[in-house]
Amino acid sequence: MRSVFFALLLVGAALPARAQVAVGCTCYCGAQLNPPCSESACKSACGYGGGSGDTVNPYGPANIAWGGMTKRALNMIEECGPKPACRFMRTGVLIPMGLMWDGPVWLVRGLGYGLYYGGKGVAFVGKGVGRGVKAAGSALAKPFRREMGKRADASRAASVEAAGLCSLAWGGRYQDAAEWEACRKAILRRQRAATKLVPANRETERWCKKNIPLSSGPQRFNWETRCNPGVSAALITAPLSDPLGAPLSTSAARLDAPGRARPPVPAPAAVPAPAAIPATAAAAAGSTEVERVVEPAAQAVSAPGGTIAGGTPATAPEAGPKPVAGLRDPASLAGTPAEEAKAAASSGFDAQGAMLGRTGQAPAISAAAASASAAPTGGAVRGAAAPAVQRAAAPAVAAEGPRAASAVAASVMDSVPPPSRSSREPVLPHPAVARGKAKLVGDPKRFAGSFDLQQGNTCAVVSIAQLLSAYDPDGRKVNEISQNPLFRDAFANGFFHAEFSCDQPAPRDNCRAYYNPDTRKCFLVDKNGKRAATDWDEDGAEVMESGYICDAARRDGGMTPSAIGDYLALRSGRKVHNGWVPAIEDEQKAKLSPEALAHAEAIRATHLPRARAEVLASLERGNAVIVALRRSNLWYKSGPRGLHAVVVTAAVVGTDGAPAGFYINDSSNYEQGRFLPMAEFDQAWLADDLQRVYIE
Amino acid sequence: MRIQIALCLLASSVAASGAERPALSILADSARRSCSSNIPLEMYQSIPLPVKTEKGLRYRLMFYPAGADDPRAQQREVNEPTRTAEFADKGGDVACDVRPDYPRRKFKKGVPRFAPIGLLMSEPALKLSFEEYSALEREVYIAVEAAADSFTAGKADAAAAQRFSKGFAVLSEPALQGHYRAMAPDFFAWVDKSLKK
Repeated sequence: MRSVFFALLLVGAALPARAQVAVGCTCYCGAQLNPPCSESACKSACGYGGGSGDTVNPYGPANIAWGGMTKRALNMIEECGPKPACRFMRTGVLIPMGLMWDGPVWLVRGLGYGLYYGGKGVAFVGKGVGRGVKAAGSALAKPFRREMGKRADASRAASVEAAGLCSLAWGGRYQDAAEWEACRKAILRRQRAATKLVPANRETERWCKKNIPLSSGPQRFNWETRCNPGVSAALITAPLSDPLGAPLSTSAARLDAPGRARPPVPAPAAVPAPAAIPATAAAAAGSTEVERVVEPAAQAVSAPGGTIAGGTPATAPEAGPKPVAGLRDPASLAGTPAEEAKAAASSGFDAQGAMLGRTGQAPAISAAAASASAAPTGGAVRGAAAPAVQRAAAPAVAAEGPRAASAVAASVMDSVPPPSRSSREPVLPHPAVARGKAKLVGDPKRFAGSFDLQQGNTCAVVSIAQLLSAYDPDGRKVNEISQNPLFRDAFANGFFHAEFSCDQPAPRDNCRAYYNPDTRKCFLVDKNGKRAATDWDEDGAEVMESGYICDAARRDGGMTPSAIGDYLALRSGRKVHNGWVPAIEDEQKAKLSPEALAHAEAIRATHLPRARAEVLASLERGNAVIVALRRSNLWYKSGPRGLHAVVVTAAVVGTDGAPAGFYINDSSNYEQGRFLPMAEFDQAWLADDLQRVYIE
Repeated sequence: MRIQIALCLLASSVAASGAERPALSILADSARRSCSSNIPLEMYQSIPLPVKTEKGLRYRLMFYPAGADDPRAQQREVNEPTRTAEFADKGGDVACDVRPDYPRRKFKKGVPRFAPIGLLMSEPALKLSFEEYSALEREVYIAVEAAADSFTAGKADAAAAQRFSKGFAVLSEPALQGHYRAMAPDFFAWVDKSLKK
């Protein structure tokens, strides 16, 4: 019975379709369709965009509509229209079938959606919880974080602290290449850290990267001043970093240090040009002594260097005292071209190592730096010194603000080494003089204004500066000059001899360094008069490097014995006596003592008393004397033979008229008024050739 | 080494008692004077060593710069010798620009051409006082003179060579060892032969 009922149901469900075949159908848009009619067919006929999944191919097998079978069954029930039997039959058969078909699909979909959105929800919840936890942790950790922040700040600050250990100032010496490499990296690291801390430092950092100097050279000091500010310059014992002689901040400040103030210098006195007398440079007639008497008009015969092709020619002789060309006063600085001043202010030196800004306008500086440059001046000399201080301080001002600038200026001022104890202590009168058993000839305290610590091999230059400053023909000082402009002048005119083994143009050929005062650069000239290369660029090619040559010349060059007298005559405009013991070769030519021991005996017995008497006579006339001594004897230090020039300022003379000793100014350690007993003086002097130079 | 120095000093102190400067020292200083137009005051000079030439026995010595930041520094950095002088054993007849075949420097990128080539004083020499150094210097000059006689005669003299070597090892500049050998190669060959090295 049941099976019959179900069979009838199935037949009933199929019957309406057949009936529709006969009658056709009308869609909602009014279109007439042939059977079989369906919603999709209507949509297609009425111009509806096709639904994809539900499209039924009227002639092929039915598409499997995943999850859409029940909906299709409902559509089919709708198609029955107002026919209850059809509706009943289809509802009874198709809906359960659709549900059976779609149930698993819906279950799977539900699970998928559930998992997806459930997961999403969990994620949101987790995020929210995380934020909450973080906020809570942050709130809890706030006190601790403040402490950590302080540590981080301290760490950052430490990274921008001065790289002192590798600085030029540390130990006052140039490092070798490997050491300098580490130093350079440390300073650049510091700059990077400073930029991180203060982004405004980026410009300085770029400048430092772009202008890395050689390990030794004049630009080294400037580079470190700007890129490694705040490092004390106190330990730079002899600032060779400015070989051209422009006073560095250190040396300038030293000059300005309390107790070193110089009296204002009047304008140079007009000295009448002496009559032109030919120079004589020969042994005095009938004497074995070499007396190089240099008349001023002859301008010291000729500059020792002679005329150099392509280089700086020796100065042409002129009558009268010649002003030192290297001196520049503030008035002459005023006419500097704007471009040069700009370059000076921006960089401090050029790519070839020449110091820019020597004649440039000084950039704005802090009050502290200004006070450093505004200390008591030495006239023209101090006028040249001021821009040097400003140059060094200005970049730091721009880079790190007023505080850093004042720190730099303060370090420059505070770190200046005071003059050595011996020079600051008053020169005590010799006990024999105090007791009235001897008399003092000359003044041991002379030349306080022009006595200076030598920088490089400039002992002769410092000595000449003292004699020039003391020359007082009309009751007025001719000039008061320091070693730097005088060194430049002597170097430019070939009186400062710096020779190197260059292997150019042939192996073992020497070349010689010169200084061009117009370009303010040093250069090397080989024996053929051609410029020689000296250094290596980044690509390994040899290039000229002015700063390095200047440095090397000042450090390893010097004045020859004859050049001392010649140059003194040139600049003083007076007759200069430059005497020394003749060489054996000269004596042999003069058919005098040819034997070495006889020669030595003659020196001790004849020349020494005569030389002493000359020194004493010159001191009695008020003229100090330059003498050359063996340096190891003078300082009681072991070492090979080498000489050193000092100035004899006074003598202690016994009642018998014999000198008991001399007072000397030794520029090697700024020692003024050191008393040397006669025996010690003689020993050091005999180790040389008894050279003495004085203005007659 | 210390014993050798002590022996040297003992010998030199005996020799130095009441003695004048060695003749060779006077001749060397005189040669410097003859060449002074190209030798600044501060230039250092080496120990003179004998060479055999067509003119007979002569001595050669080097002049070289040695820089330091402190003008009074004992230890300095030596640069290549710029001049080598040669003079007769009796003095005079000075040639100021002799050019021995010195070891050539190997220039390389990054190292400036004028970079120092070494140190001025050896460690033992730095430890000597001024008086000890002066005495040893005198002894070395005398030893060179004594060795020069045997060297000229062409006969091996172990005692003279030994005396010279001891003092020379202390006083000679570490930076210029190769230069000394290049300056007087025959003399060092004689020393080595005498010492049977």
